[in-house]
Amino acid sequence: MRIPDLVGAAIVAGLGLFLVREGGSLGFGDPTEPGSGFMFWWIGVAMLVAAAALAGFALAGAPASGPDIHPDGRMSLALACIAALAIYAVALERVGFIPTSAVLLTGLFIYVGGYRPPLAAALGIGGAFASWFLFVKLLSSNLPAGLLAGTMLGN
Amino acid sequence: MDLLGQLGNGFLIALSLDNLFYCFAGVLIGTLVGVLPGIGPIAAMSLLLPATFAIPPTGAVIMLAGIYYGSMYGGSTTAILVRIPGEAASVVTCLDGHEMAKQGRAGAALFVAAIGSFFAGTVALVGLMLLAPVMIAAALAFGPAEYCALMLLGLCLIAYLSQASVLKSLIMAGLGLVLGLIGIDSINALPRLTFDRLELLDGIGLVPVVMGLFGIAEILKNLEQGTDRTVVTAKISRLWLTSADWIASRWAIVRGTLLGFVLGILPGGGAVISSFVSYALERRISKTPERFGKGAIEGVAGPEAANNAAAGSAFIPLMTLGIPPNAVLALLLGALIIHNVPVGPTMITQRPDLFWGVVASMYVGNVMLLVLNLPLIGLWVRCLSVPYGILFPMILLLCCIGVYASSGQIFDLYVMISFGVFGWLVARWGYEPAPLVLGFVLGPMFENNLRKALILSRGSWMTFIERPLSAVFVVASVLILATALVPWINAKRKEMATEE
Repeated sequence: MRIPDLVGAAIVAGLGLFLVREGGSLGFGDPTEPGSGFMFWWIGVAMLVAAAALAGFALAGAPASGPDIHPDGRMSLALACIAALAIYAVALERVGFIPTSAVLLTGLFIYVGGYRPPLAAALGIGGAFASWFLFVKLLSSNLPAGLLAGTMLGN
Repeated sequence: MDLLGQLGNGFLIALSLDNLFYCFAGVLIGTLVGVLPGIGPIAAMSLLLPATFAIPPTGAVIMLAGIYYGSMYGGSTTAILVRIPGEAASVVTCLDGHEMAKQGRAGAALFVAAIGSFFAGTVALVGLMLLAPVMIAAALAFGPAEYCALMLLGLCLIAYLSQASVLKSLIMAGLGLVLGLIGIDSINALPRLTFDRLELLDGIGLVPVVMGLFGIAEILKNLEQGTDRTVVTAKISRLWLTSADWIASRWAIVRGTLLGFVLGILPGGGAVISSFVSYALERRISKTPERFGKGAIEGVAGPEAANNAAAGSAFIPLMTLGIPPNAVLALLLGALIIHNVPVGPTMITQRPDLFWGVVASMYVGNVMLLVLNLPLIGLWVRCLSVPYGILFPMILLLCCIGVYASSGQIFDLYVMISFGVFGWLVARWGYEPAPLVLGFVLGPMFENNLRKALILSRGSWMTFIERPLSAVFVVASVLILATALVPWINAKRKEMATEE
């Protein structure tokens, strides 16, 4: 029995049920004039069939060996990156591109790259300014100025 | 106007200073992302997509196409020198290419990869040029039923040919279809699955989805699994082949080119599968198969030619039918739509400048790539010495910039992060992101054509069987799914997909 596939089947079945219900409430219509929920309903049904098949294979199959997890506990690096990106997204518009990017890069250089904080800070600030110059000044991209709005480092 | 005349006009467009610059930028960036593991052509293209909004559509497509075929060239460098494929199509090149490098024949391996890629890329372009008008004539017979059935075939094929289980790939494709349909219904103007969020009324953006699945997820995977590199640091000399090498590799290049060209046209096929099939073919027909995996030059020449031929021929269904055969070209289709370029059979008649300009630019780009990949090999090797501790944070920042700049909405950053985490998690349990992206792009077109086909046939599902072309696609789809359920065939399929 493969537990991860069983969990996957349960999630897919849940999604299928949701789509069938949503398809119905959006309006299935009929084949001569399919409604807005027509496709969702059919995809939902297909998902339910797929979930049943996946569950069947999971029950009949040999246990899975599980995902490759690095023995050094590197998963924490990936989780830290996700957390850093989430904080970055929350702060970006309020604080502005240059400060948030400098902090993000510095943190990642320290945690992911293993650089000493002074060097990481120098690289982070440099990277943020270089990116700002490239995208805002050269490519005219619209990045949030935040706290620096109205200064020469704003847009 | 005859074919040569149209190609001549294409060269006039491709050789203009602006387009030469876009072509050079595309192949340069493509080579770079091909060389650097951790960022592939899809991530690079989505990163640059916002930057193309300000340039004319022809220049934009020339640059984005350059990234795609450039990455096919560049991917072989890391595969040979580091044994890390820069992108998925170079996985098999690692096997014999790196062995050759360890034996002091890195120059020969790099040369045969470059020359094979150049030959295959050029042949694929001739094929594209000759086949496109024929395909367009055939496409005039396409109605909604045929388009719908062809898209179904594409989704089935990409699931069948993926390395993951067919069932899991189909689930991902279905999920992609659902995600692609979020937003206002184009026929009834009803909001669908928007959960009262204004940001979702226009649907989920392609850029954050792709950047999340192929950019963020890839970095997270690399961080978790670690990336050890053993770069062959010996000076690369003698970028030339011995006569024995020429004899061994010339037919492998020709076979790889033909194989890649055919597989590249098929929906769901493309560069990755063609390189695997080419390697298996070369080993099977070799009189000394035991040399494979130990530095056989055919094991580099065949797959490299195949993946480049496939990269070229994959443009045929995109530019003639408006149907992308793989995830990378799905992104290119998204770019064409954003630039208001008519996609489908009318593209060549309505925008001949774009079609022939892009075709001609590929010739130019192939020559640029030859120059970039042989004399400048030392430069690319030096790029490999950039520490991942620097590279990964910078790529993450670039992903954030690309996504925010494309829409100006912070919501898209959340979407990107969510899809990054999703892609990272599901990859651990054997689900691939490519079918999701193809489903996502095809979703609205698929639904539109399905509903039109049913309305035109007064609700008869038999329309998909009664129309000959549609019937062929439907039967092929059913056969593919049926064979995937036969245990022996499925075992063989998995063996082929994961061979070596």
